[in-house]
Amino acid sequence: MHGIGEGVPRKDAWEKVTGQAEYVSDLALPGMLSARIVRSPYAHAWIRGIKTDAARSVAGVVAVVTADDLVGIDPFYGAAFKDQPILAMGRVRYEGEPVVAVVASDEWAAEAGAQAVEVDYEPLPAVLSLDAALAPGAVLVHEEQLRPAGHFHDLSDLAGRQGNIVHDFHFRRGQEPDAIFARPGVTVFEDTVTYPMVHHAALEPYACLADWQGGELTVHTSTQTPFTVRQELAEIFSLALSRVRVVVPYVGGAFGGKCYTKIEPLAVALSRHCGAPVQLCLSSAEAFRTARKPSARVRVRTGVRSDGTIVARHVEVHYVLGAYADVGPRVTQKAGYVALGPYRVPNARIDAYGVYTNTVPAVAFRGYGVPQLVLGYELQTERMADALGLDPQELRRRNLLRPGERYSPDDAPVDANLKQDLEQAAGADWAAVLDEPHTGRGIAISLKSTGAPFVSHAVVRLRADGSATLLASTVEIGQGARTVLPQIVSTALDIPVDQVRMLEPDTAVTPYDQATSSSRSTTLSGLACQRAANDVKEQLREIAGRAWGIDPTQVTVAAGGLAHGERTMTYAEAVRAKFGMNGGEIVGKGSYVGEVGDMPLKGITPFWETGAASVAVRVDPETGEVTVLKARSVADVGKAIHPDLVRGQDEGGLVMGFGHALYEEMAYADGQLVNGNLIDYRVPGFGDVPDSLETVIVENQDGPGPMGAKGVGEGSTTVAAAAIAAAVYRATGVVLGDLPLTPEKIWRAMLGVKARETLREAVQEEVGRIGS
Amino acid sequence: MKAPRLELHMRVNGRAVALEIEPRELLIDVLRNRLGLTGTKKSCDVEVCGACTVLVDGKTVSSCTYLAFECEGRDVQTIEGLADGETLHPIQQAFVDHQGLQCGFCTPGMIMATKALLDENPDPSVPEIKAYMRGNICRCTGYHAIVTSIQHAARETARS
Amino acid sequence: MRPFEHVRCVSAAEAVRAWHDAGNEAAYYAGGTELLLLMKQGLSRYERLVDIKHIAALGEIASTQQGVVRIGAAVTHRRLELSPELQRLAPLISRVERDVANVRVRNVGTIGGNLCFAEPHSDIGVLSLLLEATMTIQGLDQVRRVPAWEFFRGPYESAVEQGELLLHIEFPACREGTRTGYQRFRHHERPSCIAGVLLEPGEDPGNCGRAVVAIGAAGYVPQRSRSAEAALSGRTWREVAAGAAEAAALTAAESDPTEDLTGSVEYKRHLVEVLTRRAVLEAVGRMEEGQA
Repeated sequence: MHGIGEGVPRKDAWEKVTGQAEYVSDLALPGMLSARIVRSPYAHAWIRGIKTDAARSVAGVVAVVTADDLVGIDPFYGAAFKDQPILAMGRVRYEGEPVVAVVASDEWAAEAGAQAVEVDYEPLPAVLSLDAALAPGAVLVHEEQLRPAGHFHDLSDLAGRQGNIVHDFHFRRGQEPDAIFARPGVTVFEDTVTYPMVHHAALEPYACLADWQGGELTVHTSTQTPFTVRQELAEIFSLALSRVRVVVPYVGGAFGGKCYTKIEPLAVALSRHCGAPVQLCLSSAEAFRTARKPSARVRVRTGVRSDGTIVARHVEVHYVLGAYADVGPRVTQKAGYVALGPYRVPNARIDAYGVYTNTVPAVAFRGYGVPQLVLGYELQTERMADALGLDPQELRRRNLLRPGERYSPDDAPVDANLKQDLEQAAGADWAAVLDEPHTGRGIAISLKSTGAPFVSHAVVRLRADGSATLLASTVEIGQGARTVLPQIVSTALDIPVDQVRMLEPDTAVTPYDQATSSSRSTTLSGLACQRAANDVKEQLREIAGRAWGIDPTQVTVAAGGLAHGERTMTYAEAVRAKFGMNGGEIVGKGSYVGEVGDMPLKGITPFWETGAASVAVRVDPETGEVTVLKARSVADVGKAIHPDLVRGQDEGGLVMGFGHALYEEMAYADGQLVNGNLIDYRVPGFGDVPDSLETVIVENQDGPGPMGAKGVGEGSTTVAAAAIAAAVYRATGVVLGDLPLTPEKIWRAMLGVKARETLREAVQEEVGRIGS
Repeated sequence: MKAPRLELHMRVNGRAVALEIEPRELLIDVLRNRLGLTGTKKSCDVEVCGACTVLVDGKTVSSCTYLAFECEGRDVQTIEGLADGETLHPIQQAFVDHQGLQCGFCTPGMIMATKALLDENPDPSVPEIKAYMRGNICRCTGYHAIVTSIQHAARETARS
Repeated sequence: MRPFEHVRCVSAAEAVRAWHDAGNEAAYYAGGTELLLLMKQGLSRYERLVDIKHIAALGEIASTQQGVVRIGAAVTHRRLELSPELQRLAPLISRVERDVANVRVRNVGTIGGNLCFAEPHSDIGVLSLLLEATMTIQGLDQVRRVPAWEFFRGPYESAVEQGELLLHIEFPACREGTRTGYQRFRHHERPSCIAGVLLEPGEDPGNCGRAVVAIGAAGYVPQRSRSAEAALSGRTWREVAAGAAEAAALTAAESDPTEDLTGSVEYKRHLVEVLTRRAVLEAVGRMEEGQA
């Protein structure tokens, strides 16, 4: 009836397989205009002048808008700092930055208008790499005083910029690792890995439909954070929050890329300027120029005793955040905090930095900075084990945090059985595959603080007929929230899941929810939903208790009704009993508000998300091409409310990580993004996924969410690339942590080892076989 | 230049449609903007991702890079034409039953490509499925569940 | 996209005239899989598209009694893939076509469009060299024939001049006993390197009478390796297999790779060597298994 642990059909499935599901680009309003953006061709330049006359004279063009037209508003936005202008003001800071917007009656006219705009630039030296950004005397991407945005309590003490470093985070425990490293009996390992710039490539590019009507604003947008968007729009346009309505229909993939404000301020500014609804739908190529994942350089130094016990670790990580900070500072500290991994490290030091460069702004991305770190420490785990003559799993087991142990003293104890996760990941018998030449298996395990956005509210309205409507602002981004949250409510009320309907997020209607992010929704929004349903139940008990003249606590709730001894009452009867008619409804409220305190991230993580995966690869000894043969991932979710959806999240996250490991990288040449389209930027396809792809679900009911649930969706992404890199190491003997592991890089690395021998032997063998 | 216009007569999901269009109009825009059939999605815009897949005389095309006038006198099938009223086509049902979708943006194209695949090859092997579907990208599922959905769809289609 | 007019032609002469009437502002149009991408991005602008798909001869696949196969320029990739006639006359074509781009592009895109666009990573370029094809091109006043090895002039540049129309390509049907190997290295959407080998039996069926070795995607244009061909021709099959590595090394030495997103010059030259060797061994192996 509720499908807990079994699954029910996705509530959105029918709409999605019939083409009825609506996304922002499918919406239309009367009198709606289209917009096109003119973008900077330079990574860094002064804007000397903009000629708009020709564009204005194009038939159908309604307005040509530049930064000069953004009058009477505060034209900056940003999740951490208000450092990003709606349209470039005097200066462009990355290739692809919006400079001019053309609004027209249709897309053709907007496009023709955009082509007629002339912008005069004076190119400036640009910083494109981490080293260039950190060099003494480097060109500064931002020189202005940065204004903290105030959207996160854990970013309340943002200090601002030093050179191109926009934010730093430091964590210390025990003694200085350097002092420990110098002790006798301690072997020190050092590894540096780099994680490339990658793009989310959600199938639905950014889209927003803004309708400014006097002081009332309605925005339909593809976002994971309707309430942050509302907040920022209210601040930019000086509107009361109650006058800004953000509505989110179905979202065509997000992966963190649709967290926080993106194109909404521009769409609203255009609608305000033109006095008509404006739809702004970016192309896929433009999406590449809107957001990406923070690239990173991670340096891990670890001191270990000969028995494999880790005694000290120093991690230095630089996240390259691009031209605007977005939420990068928060990624820097939240991920930086867990840089020690799932291990017990008595003496530790973490130094994490977020750095501006003249590249596409880096934003949240599934895994939130953690996959970059896991690559560093897990590739090192494999290498350490080999050097010490230990089994890598034994080395891991020796150092893994136990259930209930604390990552840091003030934080929540680890609510996962990491050893069990590791054993599950390592447990597959792939001997038949691994006996083949040029193959190898890699394993990685991770720990991620969810330190999730802290607030979720929910409302359950029990209707007069006993059916329920759930109001919650979790966005359906494909994860299945509109199925799982109703399951939770239906379980609490004990009514069939098809009797619970969940509305789409609408800030004017559905209650506040901080974000659909951080694998948090089933757990935290789920708690709010469960509590709202329980609130309804309490009110029903009151009604029955009053009707029957007994204490409400004596009323039992089951099978969609109320009972005491022989007496029963349906929910519909209870509502009628209260209001005396076929009408009225019972409104229940529920909230989740996280615990705030003076710890490293200013709050206790509500739960820990783990990742553990094992992959087997074959590496072509001549070309360096990697084929993934087998994959097994462990989803330690506490309780799988909908196991099929858990598998979907876990598999999707794993394959996304394979892309980062093997194929994906935004390539720059002379400051230009040269592969910002899906022809030249390769994401994983059908042929890249092994036939044997397996998710093992671990359920120990150890999460804080409904029925012991914990979040899922990022864990497998955090370990995918590290597991691949480890497998490549096993297959080739090459330690390569410079993603993506392209065939050419592997080939070059193998050349340095004994590849020539192998190659000659392989050739002889093949020739001998065929020529005989 | 002044936009020339031409008459277009085609059948869309079995219904005759007559429109005056410009030569430059793309099939996806005619379907979405003129006929309100927004199930067909625009994504990569470069014929790689398959979100805009529709069938013209039974063959898959990228409607984002296909001129509408090419459909003169032809049959166009879109995701909206697949179900029989409230009854889903076996392919649609298989995608529902086997989690062949998440965000749903690639789904219409996936299903239309599957339709063409199974019309051509009712019993495809896994390698054949992967080869044929090469031009359809899903960023959510990791493909595994889609392959399973297609296998089940093949079985169901064979049965019905 | 800018407005344009669409002119549908039923003869090649009419099409060429229609092109010239537009005074350099026209483009021939068949599948549009490459052309429309450029037009959508505003990289190419035309006032007129001259539609050649309805010219009957351009849509034909035919063979003469002299053993010449002729493929009209407007034949789609998909027809090349599925044509029973081609599977008999030149089975390599359908084997290669199965993996060209994706099925939607193959349903619409044409062989002529692919050749004229001269995208450096094209499979068709390599195929045309392997099959020793000749292209027939019609201009305003003349029809001329260009062998495949003179057809590719540079990246995105073919022997077809402004206003000329590619009519068809012709090649000799593969002789009985011909065996082929075709290796493609595709890490990105388009291949980084392609190597094809065609081995024809000599008078003595125990010998390789003639070898064609062609590579593509590595450099700006597809090219043949005459030195590798010489090294393989006239040898026994066993010698061909044993000489695969040597032929591969000769091909790599003769190759002229260019760096792009799919690889450096050095790596591509290495791929040329690996793939050529594999293609030779594949061809010999197919012969042993009795496949084409």
